[in-house]
Amino acid sequence: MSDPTSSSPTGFYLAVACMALAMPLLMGSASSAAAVLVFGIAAAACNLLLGYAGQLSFAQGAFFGAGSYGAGLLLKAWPGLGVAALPLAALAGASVAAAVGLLSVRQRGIYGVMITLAMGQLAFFAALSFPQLTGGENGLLDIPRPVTGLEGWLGPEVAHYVLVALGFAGALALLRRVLRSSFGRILDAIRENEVRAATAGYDVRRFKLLAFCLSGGVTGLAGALYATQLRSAPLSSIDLATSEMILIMSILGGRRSLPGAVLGAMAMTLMAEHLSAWWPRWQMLVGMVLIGAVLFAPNGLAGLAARWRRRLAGGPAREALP
Amino acid sequence: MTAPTNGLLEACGLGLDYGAFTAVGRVDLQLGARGLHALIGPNGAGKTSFFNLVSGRFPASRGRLLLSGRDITRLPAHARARLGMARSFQVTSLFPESSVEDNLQIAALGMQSDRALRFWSEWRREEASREQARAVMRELDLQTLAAQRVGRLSHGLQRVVEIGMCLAARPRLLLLDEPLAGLGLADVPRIGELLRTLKQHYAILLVEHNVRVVMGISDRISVMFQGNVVAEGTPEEVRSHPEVRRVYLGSKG
Repeated sequence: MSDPTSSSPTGFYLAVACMALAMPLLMGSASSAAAVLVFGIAAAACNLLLGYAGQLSFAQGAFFGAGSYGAGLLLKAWPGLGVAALPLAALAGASVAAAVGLLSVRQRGIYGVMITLAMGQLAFFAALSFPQLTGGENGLLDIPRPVTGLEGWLGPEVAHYVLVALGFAGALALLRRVLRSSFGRILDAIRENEVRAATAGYDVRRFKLLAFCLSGGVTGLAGALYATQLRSAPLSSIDLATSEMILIMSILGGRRSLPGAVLGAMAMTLMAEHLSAWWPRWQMLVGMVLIGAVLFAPNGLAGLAARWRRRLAGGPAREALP
Repeated sequence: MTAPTNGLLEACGLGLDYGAFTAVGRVDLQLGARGLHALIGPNGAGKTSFFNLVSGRFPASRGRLLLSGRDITRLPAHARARLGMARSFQVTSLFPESSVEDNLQIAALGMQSDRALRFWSEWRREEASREQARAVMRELDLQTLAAQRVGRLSHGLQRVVEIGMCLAARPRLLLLDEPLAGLGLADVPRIGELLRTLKQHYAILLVEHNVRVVMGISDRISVMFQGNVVAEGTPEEVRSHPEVRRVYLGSKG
């Protein structure tokens, strides 16, 4: 099968650790590196739904935003919560995902996608409509960062980066575990042939719903880390554009590879930083890159990497992933 | 093994409408605990629709369906599977990107599908269902193909894997929808022999177009025409039934 499930654990954790350690050097600053890791988590969580469950979701931004606002509200009300706010924010993301999933998995194909789109929009307007809670268009400001105890030693930026990096490693380890579980195997089988899976005795809706909840929870964690990084939860974090961005990262990186998702997040962040300085309509270029990826590298950067690795090894240049 | 004794499966007036069109009228059918019961009839007679009613793919418009005396008319497909009902499809339906072993193991684990919701327990440690899958591979002589991706197998082997998936679930009732469809001449005897062996251990409901094979291996045959059963009996009884000659065998000359 595909790389996150078949690669050796040592290789996987080494890759995750290298990405977390090297990202500040590659990106030039701790804040850009933190953004890449945060969106890497979100894109990897999106892969669980898109690449394995076969569910296209336009509500990823709603899960992300739920985590951002959840962490912001908790930390503003009880700054003493510290890092405990992060799992609670993940729970908020999972709850929103459960609501979206309950409606979406009952519909077949395109209708389920439309439900996620509608629910994503609904979440955005809900955030806009309750300014006393969410800060409306300004977003939620002055969110205190959770205290890690490393601030005095490393300084506030690096200390928070360490927190993001630990959250990143934890999230990817969890997703890998899920993909290698019986649940992950059956989820992949449901994507391959839903009718056959139901005939074999699997309640397909429950599997998809659980996939939504897990994806939503991990995406909520990403949203929470985003809010503590920025010290605010901007309205844009729950925007439909955030859903789109997460999806683009997932497709660019490779929807069936967890490290690939991080590469996708990195590529997107680099494009946003460099192309936007060069041309205000840079998103047109992103669109072209996306078309190119879909046409020529359906398994994204991860698929390209696997192909090159095989070519270097002298094997036949075959597409890596199913 | 001529007449069904105590019923494993019992359909009472089971029917299905697609809007104004009646695909299945009112079908009564009884299956014993062992043996092979074939459903034959011309194209469009409603055989596959009836199959979908029994397997739970479509909800019945009328009538009742009992499995070992329990009313399962309203149960969804996955719940019927867990009660011991396994089906194959007319058009091969497998997990094409997965290996032969995984296909069989997925089918085996389906009987404890709630166990598979445990997202923390590793797939490769699912020993019980893997052992079941290996037992089926030994039974069907598929061991050498264990790691092969199912989508790359020949059509004949895919049909064998499909029957294997039914067996891996350790069912009481096998629903086989045209297992010989699209097979090359060389593969037909292999599957025919397999069915002959299987019917000694399972109750089989078979839809099949190959009349010669059906006559040779069936214990009982029901003939469907325009959504209803027009004749039922042993192969000999059905062969000489005047109605059957008219609607089915007669039409084939």
